[in-house]
Amino acid sequence: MGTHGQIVCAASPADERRRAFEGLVRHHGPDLYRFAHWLCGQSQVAEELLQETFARAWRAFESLREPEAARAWLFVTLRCEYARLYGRQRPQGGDSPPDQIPQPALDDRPEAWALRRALAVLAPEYREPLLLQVLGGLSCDEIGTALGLTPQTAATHIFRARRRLRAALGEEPGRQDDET
Amino acid sequence: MNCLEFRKALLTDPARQSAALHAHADACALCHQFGLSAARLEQLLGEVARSPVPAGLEERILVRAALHEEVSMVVPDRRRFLAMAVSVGVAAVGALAFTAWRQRDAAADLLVTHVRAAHPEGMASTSAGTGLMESATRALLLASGVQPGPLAGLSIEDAWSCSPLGQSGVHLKLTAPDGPVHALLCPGEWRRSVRRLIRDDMQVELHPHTLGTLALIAASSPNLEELRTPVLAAFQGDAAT
Repeated sequence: MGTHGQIVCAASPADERRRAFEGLVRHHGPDLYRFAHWLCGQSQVAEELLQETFARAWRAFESLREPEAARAWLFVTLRCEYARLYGRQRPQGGDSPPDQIPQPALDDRPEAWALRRALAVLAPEYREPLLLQVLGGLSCDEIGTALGLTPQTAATHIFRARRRLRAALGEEPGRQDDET
Repeated sequence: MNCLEFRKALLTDPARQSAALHAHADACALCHQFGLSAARLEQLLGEVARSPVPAGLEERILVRAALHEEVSMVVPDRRRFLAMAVSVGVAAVGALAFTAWRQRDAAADLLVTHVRAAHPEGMASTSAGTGLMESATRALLLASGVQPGPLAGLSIEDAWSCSPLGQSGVHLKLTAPDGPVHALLCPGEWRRSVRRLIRDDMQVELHPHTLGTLALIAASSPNLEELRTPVLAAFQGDAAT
């Protein structure tokens, strides 16, 4: 992150700008793609979302000087773009219906399979904040801002999400997760 | 920190572990076990969530960004030029249209002022005989270069030569049931279409004419309707309508 930060901060002439942008893409692109894929369940749509997010990043590049802020900005922008295009409805006709597991290269360990399935069937209101934290490294404040929630509500959703995942793995007694 | 707070904190944001969290885990065996299972979950979650990305993903993004950059460097220049050209064109057309519109409005204003000034007494009629007025009108029209049309159907109260818009023309005052109608031939005041407007409570019609403009002015709209056709015919039948 430190090296990347230097790259971002040094961006001023056109070549430096391009180099810094490339650093941004290579550093954040994979996790952004994963987040997009978990949102929409389709490789093609996920890549489109990513392209659009980075197109916006290119236009707003001068304001993305802080690497940590850039990561949060990218995740929030991608989430907003997804909401703008699809609202609460997943795009149809993709490679993964919402009630099925996405198709990454499968880890055949039973607990990995169980967790992937549990994550796939988790309600979006729990899955999205959890993934923003796990993949994006966003704070509860940033997640709340991205999803239009208070930080406390975002924290509660993340807590419940993890409890449900633990329950799916047999590490929690069940859905007694309404407590916060 | 109690056990509930520990577990809540660990499941809410496991990456941000405080000293109090560690202290509680060291002091509580159950929570220590919970912490270990939570850490396993977190590791597994990181692996599961981080599915492989398609090959060449970053390259495709960079290629598209480069294309976007090229387009954004070229297109804005063209767009800027086109926008400037269109702006200048629109401004020029607008200025011309506004000027023309103002001129036409100015013509109507001048004609209404002329009509009112010429008959401050309220457009009272003269007592000249009908035959005499027809002859005088015919002479005025011929002197202005107009081949007179039929005048017999018009009740001409007065006729004279005047130049409200600069060039010398003809002014007829015609009798109508609800008050007089004025017909003014204004040479040199060119127009391509009929314009109807109201100025100072007067109905004004500006008709294209072979010599310029033929203006019909009256306080009453029905009067204009009634006299429009015979007046246009009188000022030479080929006056456009």
